[in-house]
Amino acid sequence: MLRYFFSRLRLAVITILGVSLIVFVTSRMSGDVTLLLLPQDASEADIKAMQHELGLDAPYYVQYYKFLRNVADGDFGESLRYREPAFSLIMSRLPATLELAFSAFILSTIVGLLMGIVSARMRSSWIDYFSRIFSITAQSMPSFWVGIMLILVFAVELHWLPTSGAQGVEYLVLPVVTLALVPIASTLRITRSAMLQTLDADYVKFLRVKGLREQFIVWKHALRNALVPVIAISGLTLGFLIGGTVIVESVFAWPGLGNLMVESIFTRDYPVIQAGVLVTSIFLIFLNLAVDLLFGVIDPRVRFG
Amino acid sequence: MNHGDTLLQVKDLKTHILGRDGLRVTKAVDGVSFDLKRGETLGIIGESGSGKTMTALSIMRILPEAARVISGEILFNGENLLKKGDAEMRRLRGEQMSMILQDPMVSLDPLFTVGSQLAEPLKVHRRLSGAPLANRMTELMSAVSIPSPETRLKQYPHQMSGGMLQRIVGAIAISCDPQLLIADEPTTALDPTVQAQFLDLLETLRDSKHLSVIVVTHDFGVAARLCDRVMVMYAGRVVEMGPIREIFDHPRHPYTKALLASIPDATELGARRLRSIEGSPPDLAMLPPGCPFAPRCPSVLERCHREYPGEFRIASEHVASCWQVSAQ
Repeated sequence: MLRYFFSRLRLAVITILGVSLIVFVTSRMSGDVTLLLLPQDASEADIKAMQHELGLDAPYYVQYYKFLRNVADGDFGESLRYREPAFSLIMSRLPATLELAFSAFILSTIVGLLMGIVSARMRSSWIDYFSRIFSITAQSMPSFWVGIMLILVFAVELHWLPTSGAQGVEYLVLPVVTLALVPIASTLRITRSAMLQTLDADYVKFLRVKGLREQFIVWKHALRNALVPVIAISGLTLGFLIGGTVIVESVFAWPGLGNLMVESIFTRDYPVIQAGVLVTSIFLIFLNLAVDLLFGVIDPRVRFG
Repeated sequence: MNHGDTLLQVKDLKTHILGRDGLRVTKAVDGVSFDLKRGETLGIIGESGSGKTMTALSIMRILPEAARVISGEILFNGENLLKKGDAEMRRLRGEQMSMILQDPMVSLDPLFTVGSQLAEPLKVHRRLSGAPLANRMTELMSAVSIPSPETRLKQYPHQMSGGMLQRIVGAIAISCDPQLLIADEPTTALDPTVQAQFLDLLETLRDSKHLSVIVVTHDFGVAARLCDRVMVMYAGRVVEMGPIREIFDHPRHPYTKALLASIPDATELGARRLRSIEGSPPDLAMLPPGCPFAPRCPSVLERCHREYPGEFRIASEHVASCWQVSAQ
């Protein structure tokens, strides 16, 4: 168990290093930040001076080495635009994004599980057909479009909910629904097929032989078995949700990390991009590790090693 | 209540499987009748698809969704099980009638301990808990000769061998002292050495708990070992039924004869090829009008293709459905 944990930790460090390198190089390849920071009529000498000041005139490997050393000291550099430490900038925006992502995760897990179970138990009923059409539709609609349509219907026409911003719980509804739609559909489909398979299994037949109540069989035995594949994809779902916030936050002007990242990419704010990607990737890597460890709790057949 | 000597009486049972389109009807069980006396062991023998498992599932009323009992009666202690509500049926299952499934490796929920699965019927039917429950569980584990029961109860199914699991399945099945135990191919999934052990155990349990047993099998060896009487099924019908010795020594139906002839004999190993029955079982959705075995029958008469033979009595307890028998 402990050995498994440490081998996963080693793998995590390698992954994070890889991520940092890719982000470091690609953000610099996207263009020269000094051109955006200086006035249009700045001279060649001014540009050179600015590049030197920011340390951008050194070769990539020197810059990368310096970056890693600073990160090891907990210093992610300063935002070129806000003149503030990049890390604290990221941390000030992270809670809003996590609020969005975890709300969507909870919503999609509960709704997806319930719909999947009902769909499997009432196979070929209208509820089942509705669930299947819903899951195909939900998975094929792009979230920026869904977001705009929801704003159009529930904010502009019906005035039930605010269009954008983050001043209270009611502001959370539309972005969370937009974000959760795809994971609801995938959770639904996996739960449904796992449930159908489980209800057909011999051990369920034997539970019936014992004279147990059908509700008990479904909610105690079948559900727990059906949860195994659902948990298996929940790590992926969380990754999808945190990545998905980039688009949804833009649509709903949500003051989170996603919006900050988009902004930083446009303004070539390298330190903020690097810090943002690193922080989220570290976060996701540990979430996935937690999910894998959760497997051992629910399925006694899982052995770590 | 005592209903004489007969525990179970199945009368003209028909269980059909409806196709998805609702048009294709597979006659899995097509007019099966038999009695089971108290303390008696009856074998149901036949190839795969002959309707033997479907007959067993119909009695337990745990048929798959697509299958329906179309007509007939199943009298258990004189009461028709087909007229009982789901709740009533649930109280009977696991308590008065129980079943052992074919493959012990998949008969138990992999995510729960063996102990929790043994406890379930005792909690539901006997309302046991605490020390009495623990005692009863240990007692049952010893009854099926599982060493160190306390440790085993805390383990999960994947930590045990097939033979041990089948014994635990047996312990669960008899946990509430049922009157009827149905064993559906109880040894097919086990290793040959373990098979014999499990048959021994089944015999011991039957005799000590006064169980009436139905053994569903395709193996005459298993039937010879356990059964008082056997019932041979083909294409959803009973083709021959009688005391085990009668059937072994004087089989009358050509299908029974063919089945007995196909048993490999260790003494003449290598002397001849394995004998098999020519052709394959018929499609139960498109049965010919006459005897379903006619196309494969070595001694077929012209009449066999037209009319299904009725039941002919050979001896007091020995019957067969075959025109050949009537001709003799």
